[in-house]
Amino acid sequence: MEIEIEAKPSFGMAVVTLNKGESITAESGSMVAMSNGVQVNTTFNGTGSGGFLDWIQAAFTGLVRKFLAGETLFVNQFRGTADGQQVMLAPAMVGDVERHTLAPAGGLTVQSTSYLASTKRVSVDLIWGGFSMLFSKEGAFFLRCRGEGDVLINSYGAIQKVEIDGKYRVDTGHVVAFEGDLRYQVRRVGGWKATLLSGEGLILEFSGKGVLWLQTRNLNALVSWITPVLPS
Amino acid sequence: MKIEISHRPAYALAVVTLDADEVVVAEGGAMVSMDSHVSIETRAGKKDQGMLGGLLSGLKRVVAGESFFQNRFTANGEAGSVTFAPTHVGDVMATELDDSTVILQSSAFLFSGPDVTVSTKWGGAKTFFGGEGLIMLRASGTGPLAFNSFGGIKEIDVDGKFTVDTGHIVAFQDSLKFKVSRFGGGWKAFLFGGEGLVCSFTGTGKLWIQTRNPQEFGTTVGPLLPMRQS
Repeated sequence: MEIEIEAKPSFGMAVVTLNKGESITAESGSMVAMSNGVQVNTTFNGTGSGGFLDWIQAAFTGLVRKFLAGETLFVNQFRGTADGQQVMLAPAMVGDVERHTLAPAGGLTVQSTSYLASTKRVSVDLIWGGFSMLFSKEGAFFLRCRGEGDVLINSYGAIQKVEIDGKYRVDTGHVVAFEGDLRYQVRRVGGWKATLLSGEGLILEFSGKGVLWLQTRNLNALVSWITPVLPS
Repeated sequence: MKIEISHRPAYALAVVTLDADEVVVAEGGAMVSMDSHVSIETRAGKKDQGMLGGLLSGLKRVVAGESFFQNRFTANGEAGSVTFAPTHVGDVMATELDDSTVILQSSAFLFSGPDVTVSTKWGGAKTFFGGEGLIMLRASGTGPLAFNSFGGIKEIDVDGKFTVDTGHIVAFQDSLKFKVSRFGGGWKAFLFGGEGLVCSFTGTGKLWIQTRNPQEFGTTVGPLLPMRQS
């Protein structure tokens, strides 16, 4: 499988070239174009592909993801039936797309709206980000990607890679993804005064060693900036 | 005419260098800057069309999501340059017509050489069900043609069959045939796959797609904005 990202950083799109039998699973609605012969299989956004009980479980997981993490209820799997077939994937928002190859151990934790696609042997699970994340506008859930393969992440704004060794703080609205070995805590930016008046809200404080990807713009900040200038 | 496009893909700007007395025709409002000896003439139709013909041409363009008036820029006496940009963020790309035709998604036209005729084309019920505009634009003749997009533009050489989400089409050579069909072939992918209807192109020719879909963008950002009071 080859993955190339075009139109960076404002309108990133992944061009995925599949060999026969290879497949990639993407959020519903993210397909831009595909070559002839690519097979599409639409399933619930959850694991399980056996009997009826598996189906129920997958449906339930899909619903949980849709309502709790703002993900799509269904996902599409694109499978190559011959070498060299292509599928192009892009998110709905303006912004970048980046490819991450999972390390054998560790995995990747993704802000739920930043997940675009993943290859066959990657499992994607919903994880609880912690009670204090409820107070962030980005939601209290993350996605945990594990296994062997690639994950495509998307952002609002460009994606900046930060190698953390020690402690590092990021505004919750700017987090795209981080390596599984990093630990994090949700914190207020300073005292109560700073939290309420600084315009920064909550931050994630990371510790340990690993890579963090952050986005150079914040969707909630866009909404608060654009709201007063819209005509009523 | 020489065309250079800078600041791709987010804020593309086309710099057009005209030879002496050469003409370029652009969508109303697209001009950003120009040399002082370049003159501008605003018209709804062609010179020989008369007032009624001009009115009709203008109205047809409005129906297709373009401006009523078009502007003709002429470099008087010596070479000169004009720069053009679309109204929103996005990309610009140009192609060369050689007694050929390119079909454009409505509102994608930016500018063209004077021997390219842009007319409206009824897309038929199939484009309506595709969720996009009913009317497409048809650019035919000889000379350069530039178009704009929401998202980056990617040129694809189609040979055989190729499928595109209807909201991602910018333009295609009319040597390509297209058909609107269900995504994934079956009902399940069509109803739940989030793509709805897609466009299947067959034949040989160039196709230009945009990396973002304006409707999907609207669906994502819209709910975050306050309700409008009407």
